Amino acid sequence: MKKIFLILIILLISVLIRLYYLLQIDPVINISSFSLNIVSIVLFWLFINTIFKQRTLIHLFSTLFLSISPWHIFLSKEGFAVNLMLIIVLIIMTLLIKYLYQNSIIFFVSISICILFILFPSNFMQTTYRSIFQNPQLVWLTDEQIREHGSSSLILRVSHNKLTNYINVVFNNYSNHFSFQTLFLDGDLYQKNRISEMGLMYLFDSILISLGLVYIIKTSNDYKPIIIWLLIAPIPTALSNNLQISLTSYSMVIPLIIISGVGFYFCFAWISKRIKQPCLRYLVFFIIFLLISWDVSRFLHQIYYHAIK
Amino acid sequence: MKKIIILIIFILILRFWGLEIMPPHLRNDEAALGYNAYSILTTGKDEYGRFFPLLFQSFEDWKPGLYIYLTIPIINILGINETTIRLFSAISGILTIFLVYLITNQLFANKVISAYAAFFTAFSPSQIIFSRGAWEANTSLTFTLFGIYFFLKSFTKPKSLLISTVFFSLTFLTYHGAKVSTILILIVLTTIYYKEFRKFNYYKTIIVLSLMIALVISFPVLLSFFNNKSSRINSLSLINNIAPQTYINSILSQSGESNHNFINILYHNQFLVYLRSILWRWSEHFTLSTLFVKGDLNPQHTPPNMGPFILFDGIFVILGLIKLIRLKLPKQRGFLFLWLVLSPIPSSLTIESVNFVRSLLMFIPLIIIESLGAFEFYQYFKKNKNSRLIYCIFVISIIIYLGSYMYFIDQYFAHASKKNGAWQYGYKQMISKINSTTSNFRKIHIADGPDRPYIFFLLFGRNLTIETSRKIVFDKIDWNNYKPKLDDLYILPSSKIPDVNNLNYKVVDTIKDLDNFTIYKFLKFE
Repeated sequence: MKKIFLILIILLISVLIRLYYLLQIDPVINISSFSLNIVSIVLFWLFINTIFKQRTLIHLFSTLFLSISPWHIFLSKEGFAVNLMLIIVLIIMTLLIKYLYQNSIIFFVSISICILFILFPSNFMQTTYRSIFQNPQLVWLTDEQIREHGSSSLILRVSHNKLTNYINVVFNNYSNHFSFQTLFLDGDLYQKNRISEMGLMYLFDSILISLGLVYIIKTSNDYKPIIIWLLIAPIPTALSNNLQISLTSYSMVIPLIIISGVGFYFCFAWISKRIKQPCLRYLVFFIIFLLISWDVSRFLHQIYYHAIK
Repeated sequence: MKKIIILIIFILILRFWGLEIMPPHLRNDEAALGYNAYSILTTGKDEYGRFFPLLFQSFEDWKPGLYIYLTIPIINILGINETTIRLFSAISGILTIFLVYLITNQLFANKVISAYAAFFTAFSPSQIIFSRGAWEANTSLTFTLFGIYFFLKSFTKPKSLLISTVFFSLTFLTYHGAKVSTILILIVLTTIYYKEFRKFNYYKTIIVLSLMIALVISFPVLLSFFNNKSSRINSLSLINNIAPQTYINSILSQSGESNHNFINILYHNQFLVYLRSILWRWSEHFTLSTLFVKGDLNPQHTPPNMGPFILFDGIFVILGLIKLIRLKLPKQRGFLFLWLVLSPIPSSLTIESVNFVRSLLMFIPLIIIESLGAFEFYQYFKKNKNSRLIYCIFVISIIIYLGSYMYFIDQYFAHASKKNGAWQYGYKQMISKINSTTSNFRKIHIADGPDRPYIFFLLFGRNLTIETSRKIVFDKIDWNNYKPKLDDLYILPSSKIPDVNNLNYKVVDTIKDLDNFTIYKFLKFE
């Protein structure tokens, strides 16, 4: 009962923040996008309940972080397709984990196929989608490499192939999804998809995600689906020339937020265990609360004054 | 044994073969190091006439001079040329391999992991590239590793701490960046291992002695902060080169806000601007793209289309990180993590985004972590070698690894030299043509610029006749305000050829780069 009450408070916070954001951008709210965005928070909560059955605190922290996530809030504006895609991924993942998790190989294959099959079409929905294989620069680069050798023998043509250069570009695109700048400092590579001086996530998330990853590596295998999801989600965008990460790799927000929630739980548990003096412990919690509040309020400030209106 | 000999031959070839042709031309810094070493050897004075200086004025950057002094015996025996100027850095590269082996063995007491670490150091693109140029940072890295090794050794032999101090202090006399990086390493070592010293009764005496040694050796560098010889730090420092208030004002003006509002001070302040700038630069060092695909902005530091590591190394690094986190050796884990995380700080405090010369130290913990990953990978294979799938994966991995390595060899030795923008190519060739082409001219004007061409003329122009030398003038030519003289010869980069209508000229000669593009033209005005 207490848990439901807390979730309702989180939902109320989500609605208020999104309304605040949407009203700053445009007085006419896109109700469909907004509703799907809120529904995805509920589904996220169900998903995380399925994946970690006992860890109530992780459920709460993660859902709270999703409700205040700049990335998720940003997409409440006009991301009907991406919000729908996120909902479908969440439903399928919840069902998969519930019924197939026992068999790890089938689970791994099905989870990969599902994410890719859902994300590829959502990429194609973007009007500017262009496959990496249509990139003329790579053809030029390969020809340039052969020319630099001063001959064009068969061995040179085989050793300087487009595939190697494609791999480099795909890997570069893929790694952009995990760069500190994109996630925590500057946001999307496209100006229209970013809020001034904000990353796709909060600055404090960088610390929580690092802690969360350490905790996940150190402890159990419960987190396998999250890691698989995180690693597979950027692939469709990496294979394209359209690096609107915030839109095309939107589903990454779910594993990142869960890891952030795990990191916060880890931090919370560590402080509770290590700092015995209650006064000191509450002081540390208060400082953490202040830092997180400053970051969130900075986001609200950026929306109010610096978002593109 | 045979395998080890073959490996050693490969290592020696990668570091010593063709030092005069790859990199294809000396950088101006290399030329300055070489010429000053030659000048000290022959006259006892540097290019400015200072008697045995420890800091060399050079390009007003006051280079710490240890590399120059270490090069003198080599030049004395083998003469002055590209190979001898770069030779000490190559020797440092070889020493680095042994030191990485010794340090890894000190950390993990496991000879197999140490051998992997030495192997990856020996064949790492980053180590090969920086060993093949006269980079003071590479020699500084070797001294730092000596320092770390003897520091770790001092837990069993306390007197090693004195040797460690000597090596750490020598880094200050070798490379500017060491003023930050060595201090950071010392902070990491003392934070992690301070309890180890308390085992010994006389640890206080050794620490006091070490501090005294450090003070004596690094005294000239300390002095440089007070007598205006630290201009290099000032010119590169992030704090001196960004204007946070201008940036804040531009942000605030977007929404017509006041600067004195409390809320704006809370969200748009100078501290935050600096923090974001430093974090941006620091995090850029750790992006997969920087490490494995693109490298840094300076093409001298990484081969084209590659980072300082080959793409496949990334898998071992990730496996190694997982292994390190799970390892129940908190001190080793803490030391490697802090070493890795803090090493890019000197580079992050400068105006450039990523410069691997300044963060060379970060490659060593990465290599050690990579060796942990490779060790784990091999152990997994050994356990499951009866499984055909695992065997296939192992064989395919080796084939891909070798293929990736061949890609590096091709990119560096065949393609990098063709990238004209990367090297200050052409001055040596220019000087060799001057004697034959220029006898009829009254003056020879060379376009001056950030390359500091004078140093190449000092180094390579020793064979020019006195008459020709007297004709050479270095000019900053701006064609809008410059009137060329008819009897003079102008040697200019292709990009600086005048496009002013009323100037008629004839191209007397040209210099082409290794990709056969004209980079310099000899012009006679008519």
